[in-house]
Amino acid sequence: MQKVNIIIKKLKMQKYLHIMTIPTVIWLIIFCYIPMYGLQIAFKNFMFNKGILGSAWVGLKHFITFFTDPYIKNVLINTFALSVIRSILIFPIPIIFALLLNEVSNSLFKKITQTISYLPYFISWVMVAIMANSWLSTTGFINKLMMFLGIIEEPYLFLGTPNAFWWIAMFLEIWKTTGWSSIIFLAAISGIDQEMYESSFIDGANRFQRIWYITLPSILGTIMILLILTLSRVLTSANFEVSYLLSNPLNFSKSDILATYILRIGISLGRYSYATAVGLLQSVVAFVLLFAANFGSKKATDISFF
Amino acid sequence: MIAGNNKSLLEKTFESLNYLFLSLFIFFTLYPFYYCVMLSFNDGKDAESGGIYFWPRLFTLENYRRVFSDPYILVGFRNSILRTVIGVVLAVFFTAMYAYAVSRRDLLFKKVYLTIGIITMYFGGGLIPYYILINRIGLIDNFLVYIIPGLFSMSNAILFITYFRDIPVSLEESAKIDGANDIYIFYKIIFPVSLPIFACIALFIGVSQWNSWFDTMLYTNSDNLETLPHLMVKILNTQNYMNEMAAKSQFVEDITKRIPVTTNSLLLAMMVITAFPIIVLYPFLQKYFIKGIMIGSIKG
Repeated sequence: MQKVNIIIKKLKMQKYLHIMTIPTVIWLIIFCYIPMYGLQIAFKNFMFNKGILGSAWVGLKHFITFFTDPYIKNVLINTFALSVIRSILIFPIPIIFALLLNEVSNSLFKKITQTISYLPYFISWVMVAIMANSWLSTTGFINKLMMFLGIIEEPYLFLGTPNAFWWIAMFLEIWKTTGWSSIIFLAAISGIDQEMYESSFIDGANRFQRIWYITLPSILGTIMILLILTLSRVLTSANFEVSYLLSNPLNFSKSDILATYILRIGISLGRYSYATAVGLLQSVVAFVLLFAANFGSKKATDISFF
Repeated sequence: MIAGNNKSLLEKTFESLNYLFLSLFIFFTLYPFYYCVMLSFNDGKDAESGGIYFWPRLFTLENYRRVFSDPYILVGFRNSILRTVIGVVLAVFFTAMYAYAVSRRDLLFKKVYLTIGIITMYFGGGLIPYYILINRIGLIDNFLVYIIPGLFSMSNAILFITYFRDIPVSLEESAKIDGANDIYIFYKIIFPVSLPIFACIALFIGVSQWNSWFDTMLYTNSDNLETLPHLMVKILNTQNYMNEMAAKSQFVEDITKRIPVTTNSLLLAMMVITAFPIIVLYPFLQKYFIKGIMIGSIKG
């Protein structure tokens, strides 16, 4: 009884703090929890006029449709390939960039390079896609440069060639994110104890030995954490905006990924339940990977997120 | 670093190559952007024949004149500015209020409030259930669809919470003794000393509002709710289709009828205009953004 009284007294004292959280709690229920509740339509045959509750249950029908559709294989391959490219393949690039930048002794040059390297991060994907159309056009500078270097003999139709799409996505990703992703590594490098370098210098270590035996091991923890995060996204991180904005009827066979597929099937064709089922499958895979990566790293390195 | 006087030839070579490589890196970061800015100042039809790499061949301001005289684009401009300004102000205070309350250590049910927020960082309903929700609550074809769904995000709230926790308790205690309530303390005492984090979150939200196009595409039909980035996406999509298939859609025909410059030169000019505020602000922005990801990563 007394405990209840204390709680009531405390609630009264803190009433304004509770009032401050109420709008957010209501917002969370509407915009996050109601859609979660709506996930059940993955197992129903949702129709707008019948509502979520009124639509009939169909069990796993949509999941079976998904796994038996011959077209899906292509979408899955594209999603997987573009995710691996975006997560693993370009992972070392910001690290290498940070290491090279750290070796620059001219601090003005270093600062300018660093600042410029962040710039593309602030340019949205829509703008990048618009620019990429100009860069990659048959009269664009990339074709000119490659012809000048003798890599190709005549203008190449980049965006019209299915097999070029994955590479285009990779290079755009590198252009946009390298500088920004390197921040975290540069921060880790700047935290290294300078005395280690000084004593290594007295011991006669050369530059490469210092990078290999001091810098790299010192930032290994940071690299590992980011690698785990990256691994957890290895199947699902394909970039929707790149696939959506740069696809065209000619490269469609290599640019269509789950996210664009869900948008097309769900919104344009109105197959709400089926698209929800596909989305649910993707989230489950992402979630399982995140947990697996987290569990694995907890076992191996004692680093975990939750 | 220590300046060595007995550098080996190998190290000297490395150093020169490193400078060369990083200079190339700078060039390939800046040049593609410069290339497009330059093309946006060139005659559209002339640019199609190629061969322009450093300066405009037929300098013109026509592309920009068209952008600023097209009523359709101006509506997009207006809406993008409106949603950015209104969206930032409301979302920042909405998020900060919750964050301030749950950052108080002795708050009852604090765990509950925090948990229902954190769950949303890992689970969600996905595209279609969200789309159905927006339909059901009447936000389709409504300007509020740009504001209300963006009012809160847990990752921003966490940045606020981390910052508020470090504010000394003594600051608010004296006000409390004077009988001030928590809402008053939040606006009069906490807000002024937390300006850096408010600026940081405002920038995060502002940039994403300014660049946002997906909601316009999904949740609006009327021309009155058009936004600048979505207009670019629309033109880009039709252009992609047209370039590769040489098929003309009604939309592109409409555009080219009203606008005699090429769609590509028009797009480039729109792109430069959209990028302009961000490019101008970005040397200042980056400080806040870096602060943001640093707080985030320490927390994580």
